Parts: sequence; C-alpha cells; structure tokens
Amino acid sequence: MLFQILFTCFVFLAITQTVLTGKRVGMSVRGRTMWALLWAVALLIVWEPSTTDSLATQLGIGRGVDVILYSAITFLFFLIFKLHIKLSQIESQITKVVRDRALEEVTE
Amino acid sequence: MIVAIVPAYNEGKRIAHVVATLTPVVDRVIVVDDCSYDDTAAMARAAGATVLRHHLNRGQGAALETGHAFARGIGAEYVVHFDGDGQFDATEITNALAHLQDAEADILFGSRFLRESQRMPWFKRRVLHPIARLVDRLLGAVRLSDVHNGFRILNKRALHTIHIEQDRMAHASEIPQQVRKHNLTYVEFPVTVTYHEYGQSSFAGFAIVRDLLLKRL
Repeated sequence: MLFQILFTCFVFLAITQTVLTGKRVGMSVRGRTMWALLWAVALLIVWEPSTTDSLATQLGIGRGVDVILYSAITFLFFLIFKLHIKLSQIESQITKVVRDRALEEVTE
Repeated sequence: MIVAIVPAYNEGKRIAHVVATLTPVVDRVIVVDDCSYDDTAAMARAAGATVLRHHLNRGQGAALETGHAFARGIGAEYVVHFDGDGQFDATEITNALAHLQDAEADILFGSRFLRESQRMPWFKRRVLHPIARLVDRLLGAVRLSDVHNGFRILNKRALHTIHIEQDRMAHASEIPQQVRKHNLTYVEFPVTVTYHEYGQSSFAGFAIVRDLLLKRL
C-alpha cells in the first residue's frame, strides 16, 4: 500500500509538470495529453495490477508484469531513437550557425 | 583558381609551415580553424592564409564544408583538401592536379597504397583498412585503395555537387558515397604521408560507422 501511495504522489507531480512545464516550453496539446495518459495508465496498473493479466493472456506472454516490462523496454528504445534523431538535427543546425558566422567574419 | 582548404584544430606549431609549403603551389590557402584553443588562427593569418574561424568545435568534416562554401563563393576551379598537421607533401599537388586534369575526372583521392615504399603501421594496413574498405563498400562508396586519406582534389563540378553533411571523421566515407551517388568520375594518386605521434585511435572507426548509420535514419 505504501508504494501505491508514494507512486500516486509521484504521478500527480509528473502530470502537473507535464501540463505546466510542457505548456511553457511549447509542447503541443497532443504531446501533453499523451504523457498525461501514459502516467494515468501507469497509475491504474499500480493500483490494479490484475488489469494487465488479461492483456498478457491474450498476447500469450503469461504474466501481466512481463507485459509491462516488455512494453517499457520497447517504449524506452523508441524514445532513445527519437532523441538520437533530434540530437542529430540540432547538431546540424549548430554547424550551420557556426559556419554562417565563420563566413561572415572571414579575415585575410 | 586553385584553393587549398586546410582544416585545423590546435595546429599552432605546424600550421605556419603547412601554409608556407602550400603558398607556392596554389593560388589561395584557406585555413578553417575549428575553435582551436592555441594560436592556430593567428599563425595561419601571419603566414598569409585566409582564416575562417569556427566559434564552436564542429569537426573536420564541418570545417571542410565551411571551406567549400567559401571556395564556391570566390569561384574556385579546384580545391585541394590538405591536412593541417603537415603529414602531406605539398609538392605532390602539382603532379596530382595534372593527373586529375589528364584523366578529365571530377575528383582525385590520395592513396598511401599505390606506392610500395609507403610506411604504415602493420595493424592499420592489414586489419583496420581492409575492414574500413569493406564497410565503405557496403554503405555505397566507390572502390578506393585508401578509404580514409585526407588528400583530395575536387574540380568545380565536384565542389558544387558534393555537400559534406558528416561533421566529424565520417566525411571521409561520405565523400566517396556522394561520388557514386552523383556519378562523378574519380582517380587515385599515390601520396606520401608522414605519420606523427598522434592521430586517430583504432577505436575512431566505431564512431565513424555509428555516424554513417545515424545519418541514414
């Protein structure tokens, strides 16, 4: 029970941060909703772990907790992949700015 | 107009000599100082080079592309890629350029392996380079005897066709890929490389493969 209470407090903070900070840094409404939903689903699973069991049975995995683990790993890998792409784009933009400035300031 | 592009990072001790050796054989020497923390830019300028300075370190590929952008702007007919650490011999440029012109090719790649007398560490020659050649071929590059040689000469067509997007060392694989992609013609030419104490580590190859694969995503 203690874990559920602590996790609920954490999720409450996470959703508040997602909504408030996300809005401030320009995250789309869709993005904020997706993150809030993700946390809400996590909260549901923590309070009602048996909800994943039926899904696990349908997927042929066995235990509900394994569904969570596999999904979490897949999601994290996808997130890393997206971050790599974003980082690569930012690197290219930085290079362009640095290059433009070098060309402006060229000295003989 | 023949322009030498020299990417340089902390080459304050050698850059003046490199510029001095290039000046008699090309029309203009461009040093791209990649945010060195020594006096590379001042030394290059004092030696007579045109200096472009990156305010953040962006890597050798980015420095070469900055040089390309400048060379396109001044109407260069040929650009020579020449390392800033003095490992190449500037006197070989004239013969290399003549070879490129005789062959009517778009780009010339320097090679350490076309000359028997070239000294190279055994591990690099027998292990690293065959692997690098294989990886480059698999990733769509033209067939070269020396895949990571920094000595190149590009004619105007190649200069305006090739745009280097790999900021770091993977540009050496990207250029042969672009040659194949754009159906440019190429030749190889034997060049002398004098090895210094420092250089790329054997593990740098992993970073190059990583950069090449990430760019394809």
